Parts: sequence; structure tokens; C-alpha cells
Amino acid sequence: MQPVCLVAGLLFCFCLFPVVAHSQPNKAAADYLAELQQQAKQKNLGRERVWHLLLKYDKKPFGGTISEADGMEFFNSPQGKTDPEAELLATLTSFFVPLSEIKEGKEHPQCNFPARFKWLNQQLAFDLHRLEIQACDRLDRWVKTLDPVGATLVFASYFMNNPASMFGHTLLRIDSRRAGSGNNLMNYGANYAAVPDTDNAFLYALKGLIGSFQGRFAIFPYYTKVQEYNNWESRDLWEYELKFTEDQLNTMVLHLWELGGTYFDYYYFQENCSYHVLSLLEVANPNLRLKDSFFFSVIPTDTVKIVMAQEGLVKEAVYRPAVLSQMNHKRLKMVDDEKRLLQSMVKGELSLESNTFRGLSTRSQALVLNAYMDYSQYQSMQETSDKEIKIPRSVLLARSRLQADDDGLGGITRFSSRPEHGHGTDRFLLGIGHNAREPFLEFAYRPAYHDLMARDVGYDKNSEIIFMDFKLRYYLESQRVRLDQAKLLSITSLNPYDSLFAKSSWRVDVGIDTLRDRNCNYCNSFKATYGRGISYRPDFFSPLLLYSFVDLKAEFSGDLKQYSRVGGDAEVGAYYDITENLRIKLAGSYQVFVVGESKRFFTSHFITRYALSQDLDMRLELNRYDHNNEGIFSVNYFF
Amino acid sequence: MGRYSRIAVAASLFLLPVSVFAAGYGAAGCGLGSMVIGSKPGAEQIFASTTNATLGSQTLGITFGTSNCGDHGLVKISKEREVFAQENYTSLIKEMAQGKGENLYTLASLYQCPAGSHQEFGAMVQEKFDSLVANDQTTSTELLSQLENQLTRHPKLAKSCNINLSALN
Repeated sequence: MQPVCLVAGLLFCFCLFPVVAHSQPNKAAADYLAELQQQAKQKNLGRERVWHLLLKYDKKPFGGTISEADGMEFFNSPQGKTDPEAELLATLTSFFVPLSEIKEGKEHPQCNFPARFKWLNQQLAFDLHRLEIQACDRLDRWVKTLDPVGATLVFASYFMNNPASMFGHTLLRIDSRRAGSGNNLMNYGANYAAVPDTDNAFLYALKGLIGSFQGRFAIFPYYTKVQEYNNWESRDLWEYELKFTEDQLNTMVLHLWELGGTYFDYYYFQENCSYHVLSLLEVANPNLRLKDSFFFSVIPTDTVKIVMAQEGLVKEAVYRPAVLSQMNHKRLKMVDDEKRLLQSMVKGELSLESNTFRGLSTRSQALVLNAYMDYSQYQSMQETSDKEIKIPRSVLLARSRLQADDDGLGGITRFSSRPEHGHGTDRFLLGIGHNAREPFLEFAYRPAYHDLMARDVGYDKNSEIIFMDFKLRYYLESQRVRLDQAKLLSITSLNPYDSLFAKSSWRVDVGIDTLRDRNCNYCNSFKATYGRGISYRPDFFSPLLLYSFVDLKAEFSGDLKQYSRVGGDAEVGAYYDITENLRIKLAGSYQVFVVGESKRFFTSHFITRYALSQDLDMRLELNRYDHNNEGIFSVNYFF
Repeated sequence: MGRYSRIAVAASLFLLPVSVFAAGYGAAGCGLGSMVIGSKPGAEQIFASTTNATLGSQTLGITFGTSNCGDHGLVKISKEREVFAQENYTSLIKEMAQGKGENLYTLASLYQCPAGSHQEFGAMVQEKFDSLVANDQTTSTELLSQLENQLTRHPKLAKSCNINLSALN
């Protein structure tokens, strides 16, 4: 019996030993994992805000949770997208995966999800004797190179001739210890953007709306972003230096690393660049609640406002002028002769060897050449050329020979104003008015965005974009409610004449209106207008803006003979700022309809606006359409 | 808040001249996190395209050679000067002709010139502009090698700056 036992025992030992030798640590690890999972459950970590921020969990409209991340590699559990707790337990499990089981070219989960690792470690205090810590070379080098000591929210403002760009764009700059102060160009910028797969403008818009582009984070040297926005598109940048501790910044950078591997469906409404930049800030400091205040959508200007509203979050705002703003600053300082010379240089009519040019003082020569180089830099970026040196070398060389210490400019001129000082993007209007027959009340709402009568701080002062502006009138005597106007989309881009960039103004307007020149019981028409024109502002900061348009027009209504009229109009008008808060507008037009119901008539308008605050103004409007007059007093509230 | 504003922008795209497509400027990027070049066999194509919230709709080409990117997804330290000069070339030569500017001082920092010597650096490149930018086909690489030439010859900058790459980290 005994020998048998012995043999059996030996066999048992032999058979078992290798297994035990192998599985002993496994068992210990499994035990520790179970322990950690137990603790995590007890502490309810799956419900913690930080965990939800890290995994991008959001509440579903009808209960439950869903992550905004759409790349499945972002999750460790197959249920991870919708089950925060399962994901947390699976994440803990993944940290115990032996290195030998990781496929070639893949990172260990500890290295793929370092922000999760860091937070879970803080919560559960991993026993490093019982959990093997993996070396993450690439990650370490990444963190070491970025070495964040600061973060800066960067806002790109609008660019010329493009009212849509008033919405702006935001990205986050990671300020590194290595770059140090004064070397901001060498920092990196984290940018969230859609990855478009089409050049077709229509598909582009459509796919963006329905979320069929992938949105991804990318990280770029900040100077490439400066080149792109400042120089190529000529948009001013506003940089808001934010206050975070180094530990918070470290978490943010680790989180950014995790995001590199995934993508999100890009929705222009909600999950856009600004939304995701805000979420990075919340990950850094979970006490910040930035996204909560956005109900429907996130507009970049609003994100600047919300960040500015946080006590002590913004240290400083820095203006980084676009290349054309730099040029215009120089033009502002020029005397007429210098302006003329710049003009003829642009036209290619001025030789640097000519006496006209050589006769100038060194300072004047430097000023003209500096402005010309800005112009030439901007122009060269709008086209492709195989020349390496984009600014004419003769100009560069001439400038290099001038010992002008300073071109006497002193400081910078701000051509755009801080976006957070602008009015809110939604507007509610309450008005009272009178026409020839009876008094009425007006109610209007629009979700976006800016009209030329509104206070223009923070906006392009030459453009307007109005979307879904619905106005109702209640006529007090006839006791009727009528749809007075519905501006589905109305864009005006006034491009004041600039001798260097002669661009025409244009406008387009689609919506429902009242046939105001007719007495048809406030009947409605559907109308579309497109026009081009010229406008003029004596100088960049002049309070006067003159404009003129010639429009094509079509109106459709059951109350018109042949149900329609097609024609056009010619309009002239002026805006004038009497004070910062008081603006008036005068306009007159001659309308001609030749197809359908034909008619010719004049309209004239006088509007004045007084801004009571950033978000509140009062307006008085006197309008005449053919022989019909009306006057309206209204209060506009922006939010 | 402004829920429909995006539609407005999107809709306005049909009307706006989409001239931004035809641009000659390329941005650069190495990828991010596990998307980094080289982390996967067969080196994945890296995205360097941007879409504004404005639907500004520019798709930028990629000008970063993969050789400039480290396996951590950032610019290799040994390539920093080269990439910086290439990406900011026009700004840089403009500032060289003027003898001062942010891009120029950043380049000086990449040569380890202390902030106190940046003015001197500016004055030197302005003075030597003719030889730094020899003709209108001078490339950024040629510019840098000329610059290094001049730096080593300069009595003060030769000491305060350091053209050796190993000096960077």
C-alpha cells in the first residue's frame, strides 16, 4: 500500500509540480484580482464620475448609460459600451494579463489605458507585489516629451468672407516644460476633428449632420496649427491659459493617449471639437462641470464663455493676430504715400530700385516691405507654387539690408474682439408696433446666430447669419395671430472695399414673409433672394458702413396673381455707430417684379438699436413698403 | 442652445465658394496613442486632416515624412529643427529678413541659444541673409546648414549656442 502511495505520491508530485510551479502565481494573481474586483464593487467605483468621464459615458435619453466612444478597442469588456461596471471589472482583469499573451505590435492594457490604471490605482491602492507592473516605453517617452506644465484653450475666430466661420473652432494646447515660456510654438496641440472621406460639399454637410464621419483626436506641433489658422486662413487666435496642477495635466495627457486609439461619430450639433475639448478639461479636473450646461449643442464661442465663467480657471488671454491682421496693423500706421507704394507693389508696378522707393526713409521702406511680405505670405499660401521661397527674394533681401530696429508700430491692433464678450447665440424678441390700421404685439425666437443690428463685439462686424428666426404677430384689433416672418436661413457678407482684396459683398435669404406692400390681410409668401453688391467702410474701425446690393428675387403665394412674382431689387443703405451701444441703419430699395404679378415699388427703413448690456438691446424700427407704414419697438434678449 | 445653428452652417456650405479646398498648405501629424506610426505592422496611414466646427472644410495633406515621427507619435527630437524650419519656412525667412520674430527666436532656442542672445541671433541672420537664402530655390535644409555654418563662425553665438543635435536632451 505504502509503495503504491509513494509512487502515486511521486507521480502526483511530478505531474503536479510543473503545474503548481506555473499556476501558483496565477492563482495568487487570480485571488488578488478577485479581491480588487470585490473592493471595486463595494466602493461602487463603476458609478464614480471620474470613471464615467474616462470612458465617455453619457446617460441615454430613456435610461441606461452609453459611451460616446465608437471604436470597440476602447473597451475591455464586450459590454463595455453600455455597462460601466462590467467595463471596470474587465479593465481590472486586463491589467493582470501576462505580457506573453500580448500579440506582437500591441501594447499591454496597462500601457493602453494608463489614465484608467492611474485612477484605479488611486482608488484601490494596487499591491505591486501582487500585480505585475508592465513597462510602457512608448508611453513613457510620450509623457516625457510632452511633459505638461500647462494647458491652453485656443479659439480660432472667423475668417474673411465666410460668415459661417463665425462659429469658430477650439483646440487644446499642451504647454510643455521643455518648450518653456516664450516658446509656445514648440508645444503640442490636441485637436479633435472629423475625418472627412469626401470632397463633395453636399455630402460633406449631410454626413456631418447625421454623424457618419469618424471624429478622432490628433496631436500636432502647435506651429502647424498657427500656420493653418493664422497664416493660411488668416484667422486671429485667442489663447486662454488655464490653471491646472501638474498631476491633473498628467491625467489629461494619459487620457489623451487612450483616446488616440478610438474614434467617435462626429456630430456637428453635439459631439464636435468644442465638446471633446471640454471633456478633456473635465478629465483633468473632475470638479469642473463644463458639459452639463449644454443641453443641445456646443458652439465654440459658448465653450470659451463657460471656461471663462469658472472661478480661477483662466489665467490669461493672449491674442495671436492673423497674418492679414498683422498687415492691416501696419497699414493703419501708414501715411498715404506709403499706402500708395504698398498698393503699387501689390500690383507689381513698383521697382525696389526706383527713386520713388529709394527716396523714402529707412523706416518707411521697412514698413512698406514688412506689410508687403505679410501680404505675399498670405497670397502664397492660397496657391501652390514650386518655388521654395514664396516671398520674392528681392523683397526679402531689400528688407534684410534695412537696419530698422522697430518700424515704429508699438503694440498690436486687435482686429477681432474676445469671443466671450459677444452676445448669446439664441435670441428672444418681444415687441409692440402699429401699422396703418391697428396695433400689434411681436414675438420672435431664433437659435442662431448674429444679425447686423446686434452688438458686434465678439462677432465679425461685417457679416450676419440668421437661422430659423420665427416671428409671430398678434393683431390687437382684428384679434388674429399671424406668422409674420420665418427666416429659414439668411446670410449677409459685407466685404468692405479693400484696395488689396477687392471682393464683392453677397447675401442670400430664404424663408416665409408677409406681402407687406399689398393689403391682403397679412398674407404670407415663400421667398428666396440672392444678391451681390459692394460695401465700403472708410477705415477698419470707422463707425460708418455703406452698402449697396442688386438682388434677384422670387416670391410664391396663393394671394399673388399666377401664384408668384419674380424680379429683383436694388438697395442702398448705411450703418452708423453713434456710440459703442447705439447704432442706426438707414436703407431704401426699389423693387421690380416682372414675371407673374408685376409691380414696382419703393421700400424704406430706419432702424436704431441701443444695447443695454452684452445680452440685451432695444430697437426702434420704422418701415415703409410701397404705401404701407409700420413702426415697431422691441426688446431683444440673447442667451 | 443653438441646436440648429449647425444646420445653418452646413446649409450655408452649399452657397459658399468652397475655395478652401485648393490650398497649398500641408499640416503635419504623427498620429496619437496607439494609432502611432509603426505601432502596427504595415504602418497605418495617419490622419492629418481637420474639420472645423465651422465646416470650414479643408482637408490638409500630409507633409510629415514618417521618418520625422518617433514611435511615440511626436516629432523625433533629432528632427525638430528640420521639421520646424520646413513647416514654418515662409514665416521664418520673413522674420530673418526683419531680424526678429517669434519663429526666429524659436529656431534660436532649438539651437540652444539662451534668450539673452536671441537679439544677436536675429541681427546675425539679417546681416547674413544673402548667403543664408542664396536663391529662390533654397530649401529649408540648405538654409539650416548655411545657418549652422554662420553660427560656428560667429564669435559670440558659437559659444552661447550649440549646433550639435546631441545637445538636445
